[in-house]
Amino acid sequence: MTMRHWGKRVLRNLDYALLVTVLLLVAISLVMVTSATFHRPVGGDPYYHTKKQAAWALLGLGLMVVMTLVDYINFQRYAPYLYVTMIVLLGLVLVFGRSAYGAQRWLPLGVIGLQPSEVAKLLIILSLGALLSRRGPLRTWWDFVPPLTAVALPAVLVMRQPDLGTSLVFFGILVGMLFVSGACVKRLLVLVAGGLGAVVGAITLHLRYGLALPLREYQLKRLMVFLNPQIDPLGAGYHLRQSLIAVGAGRIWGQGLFSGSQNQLKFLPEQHTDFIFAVIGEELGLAGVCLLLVLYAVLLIRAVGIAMEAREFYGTLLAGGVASMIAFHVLVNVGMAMGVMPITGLPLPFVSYGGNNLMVNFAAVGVLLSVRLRRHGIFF
Amino acid sequence: MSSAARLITRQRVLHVFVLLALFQAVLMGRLTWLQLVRGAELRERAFYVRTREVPVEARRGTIYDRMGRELAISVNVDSVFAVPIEVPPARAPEVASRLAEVLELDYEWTLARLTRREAFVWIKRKVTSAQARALRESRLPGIGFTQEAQRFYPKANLASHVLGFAGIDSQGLAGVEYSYDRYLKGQAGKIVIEYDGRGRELPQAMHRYYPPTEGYDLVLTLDEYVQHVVEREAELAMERWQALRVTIIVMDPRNGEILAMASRPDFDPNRYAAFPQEDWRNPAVSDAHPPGSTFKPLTAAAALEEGVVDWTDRFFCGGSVAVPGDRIACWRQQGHGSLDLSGAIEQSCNVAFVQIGLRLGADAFFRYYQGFGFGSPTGVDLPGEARGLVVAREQLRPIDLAVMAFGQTLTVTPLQLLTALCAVANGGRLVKPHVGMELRSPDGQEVISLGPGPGRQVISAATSHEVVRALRAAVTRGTGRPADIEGYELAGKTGTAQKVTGGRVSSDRHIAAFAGFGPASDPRLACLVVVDEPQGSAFGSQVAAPVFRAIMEDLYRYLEIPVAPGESSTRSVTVPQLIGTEASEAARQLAARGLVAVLQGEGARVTDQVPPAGTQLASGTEVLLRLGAAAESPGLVEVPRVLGRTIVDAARVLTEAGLRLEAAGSGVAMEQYPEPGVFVLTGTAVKVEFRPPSR
Repeated sequence: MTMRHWGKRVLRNLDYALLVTVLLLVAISLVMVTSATFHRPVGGDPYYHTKKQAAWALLGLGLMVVMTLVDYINFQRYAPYLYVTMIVLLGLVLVFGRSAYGAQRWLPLGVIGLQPSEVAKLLIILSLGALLSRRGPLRTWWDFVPPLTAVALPAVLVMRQPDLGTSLVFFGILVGMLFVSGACVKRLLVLVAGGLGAVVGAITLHLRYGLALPLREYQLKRLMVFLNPQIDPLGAGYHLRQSLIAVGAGRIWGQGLFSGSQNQLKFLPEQHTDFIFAVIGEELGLAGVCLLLVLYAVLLIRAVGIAMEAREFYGTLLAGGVASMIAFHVLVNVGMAMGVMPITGLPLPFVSYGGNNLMVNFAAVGVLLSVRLRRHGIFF
Repeated sequence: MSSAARLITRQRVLHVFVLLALFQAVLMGRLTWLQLVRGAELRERAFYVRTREVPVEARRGTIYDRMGRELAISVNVDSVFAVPIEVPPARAPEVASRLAEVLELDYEWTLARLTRREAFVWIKRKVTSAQARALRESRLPGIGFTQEAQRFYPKANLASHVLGFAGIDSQGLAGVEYSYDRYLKGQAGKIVIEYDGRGRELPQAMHRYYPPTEGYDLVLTLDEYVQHVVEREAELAMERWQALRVTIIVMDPRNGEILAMASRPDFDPNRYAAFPQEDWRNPAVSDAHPPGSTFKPLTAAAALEEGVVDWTDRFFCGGSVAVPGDRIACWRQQGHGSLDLSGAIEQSCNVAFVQIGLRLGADAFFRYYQGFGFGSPTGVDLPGEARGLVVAREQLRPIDLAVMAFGQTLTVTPLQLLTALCAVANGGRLVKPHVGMELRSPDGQEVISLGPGPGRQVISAATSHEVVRALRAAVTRGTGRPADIEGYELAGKTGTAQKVTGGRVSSDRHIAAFAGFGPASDPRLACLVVVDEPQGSAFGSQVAAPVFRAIMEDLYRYLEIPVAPGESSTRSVTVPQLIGTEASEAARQLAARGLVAVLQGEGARVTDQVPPAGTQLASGTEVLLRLGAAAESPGLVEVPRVLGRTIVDAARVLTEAGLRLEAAGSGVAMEQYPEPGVFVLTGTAVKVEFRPPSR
């Protein structure tokens, strides 16, 4: 097979719907990040954030190409190494991490900072897929112990940073992949219900009897505040209220790009990262938000399609994991901006400002493309 | 991987997809709700989040007397506010100490206010112009000024109980300031300023100016001159008799217009907080006391109207009279002997009135009691009216009726009593007393007349005339003699009531009163003098009648009420123009015309005179001269250039120059009138049109 032939084959088997969707999301991201940040220039440059995000997007595209070309079977083979790397990185960040907003999340790596908790999202998918594909469907309670333990360890490490949102993402990925792997649904439901029950119970006990929780006070408030924004209108409730006002003020066609008052006048906190959805809602209205959600729907439909076509069970699990990860982010982020989910600080995939998350998402899409490319099993 | 397992997996993947679709549907539903249903409200909230309002107070309406003399005016003063977020934390102590120093505030208190998490806090309201100027020069960050109206009562204590006062927010709190507050206060305006999330004023932001609506002006029925005479007499009586309280009302019996209403002790509404709250009350409407013998003309009128007595009936007074269950003594121990009705009124015989009251009977008594307006508020346009008490009809014993007939046991307010007497004087009509004459809208277009209707007939004109004749006799021949002035045709009745304290009739605390009117043939003035707890004498004839006389003497001259021909040597003179002249020179000019100068205030020159130049006065009448510092020549100022400025900015620049802003539109100033550089009088309004800046 000549190189030319191989290249043609890759191009013929690429999932263009997925690719276009992702590129559109990135385009929206660049526009919205500009709108959200140009009124607060860094070093006199109003496009500082836009430029950085664009650079990350280019890097991410490169990473996606690499991940597409690498045969995903290799990840299964080297899964234990990937897992150990992840644990080491998460351990390192606790020791050497740089902090932002009161949490240690960054490893200084030259000019760029590495955020191991973001990388861990993908590494968990890759290593958990290997674990589940080797074992086959989980039938007994005992079967559930290894995957649970495998996710609990990094989740605890991330919680220590503390980064509640990301550890929740891990469990979201776990539940999604367990379900796709054919685990006993009854037991899975019991586990999910038990987990949620334990969280609610712990918070109740904390509020009533002062049970110690591995949470900072602000995190707890953010968790609680979506139930009633009035409990802390100027603190945790402030984010939510301003976000609701922004989204609602957009109405059908929005107030126009660069014209959202909540965004432009800096009432929205973290408007280019966690609350970028509120900016979109305010400036582009229901129309813009619907377009965005349609794009995510296409992305997820493609991920699900790829999962169904995959040559190997591992491929199905990888595609299911990526779909779970992206779906979880979208649901929690959008839900938070609209006051139906707790404020946990998860980015909106491909759209929120932030290099690490963007890179990880591109890599994840690369994995999807790789699975799709090799669906007929006769690629090489 | 088996095909069965593969099938399960595929199914599950599909399930995942359905689940995600459901989630998305929920999100879309929520979105639609937020953006479509609640969108308008949330957009409005987004507007409020980013705007702040600086209040612009409406100018409170002026209160005039019936001749157009100002009794209460509003002057524009500055109030100082802070927008804490605009005060840099590092400079807060410096700003606070400067504010504390200039405004005489506590430093800690000021600092605490500057660091509050609020968009807008008052630092001090209604500061002096010197303080405002000093602060403006300091150019403190985050400190702003807004104009507010400060109420000013140029005549100080004069008519304080009628005027009442307005509080710091220019809200009427007492007197007509309270009862006509709705009209006087106008509607506050505001300047809306758009800020960003960090609290910085946006450079091209909306500055919307909502101009305040000025309040209506109120014209009272009071006459400053009459009021002054009454105040002077109240003051004298207060001193002469060391009384607890003195209340005097002068009313026009023909229409219920109150020309003067004064009480001592009183207060200065400019500094109302410095006086005990007790003194703010208006005793003329709020205090109810037994009317004593001043009530007798009303009992007589009722009895005549009912036909139970007539002028030929005779009564015997042996010094006391027996009523079922008790004995009532007359004020004259040895008795009055045989009297007719006129004599009973002239001599104020209690025994005769006990018999009249018992003949009248309880039913008729109560009918006339209510008919004359007792037991219910008169409806005067002043707050805090009392109703007065009476023994309940069901519990009434003959002794109560007997005693009420000469004005004991029941209590009435001075205004109720004078209103009832006016009905006797004016031919039988009970008119509604009032102090408000009319309201005028700020532009002068609308005039609301406040005069009430003609009133209702309570006794016949014939009865009225007969009682007036008896009351005239009481002044010429009876207990009211000290009130008499030849030719003035005064009529009236003395009263000496025993006060009721703690539910018991007191034997040593009295109320001396005189209720009268004149001229008897065509009453134009009715006056009630009530001296509460005079020392040295208790008798209305000794204490109150001379006060009535003194007042009537001055008012007849001032109002040029004709006196019986040949009885008076007064001649009419014209009041000269005295404003601006030196005090001694003014007094000399008045003396040369046979007028009496009454000087008020301190200063070298006359700043105001009452009555104004040109008024015809009888010689011997007083003319009030208000003295003050030599009037500054009204300053001219140059109109500054405000084009290109925002509303707040323009308002500041103009205020600093001593001018007012009359703004229209929003945005930045595009046109102004008068143009910059023109000299105008201080206080002139500069019209500025604001439009959004073009790109």
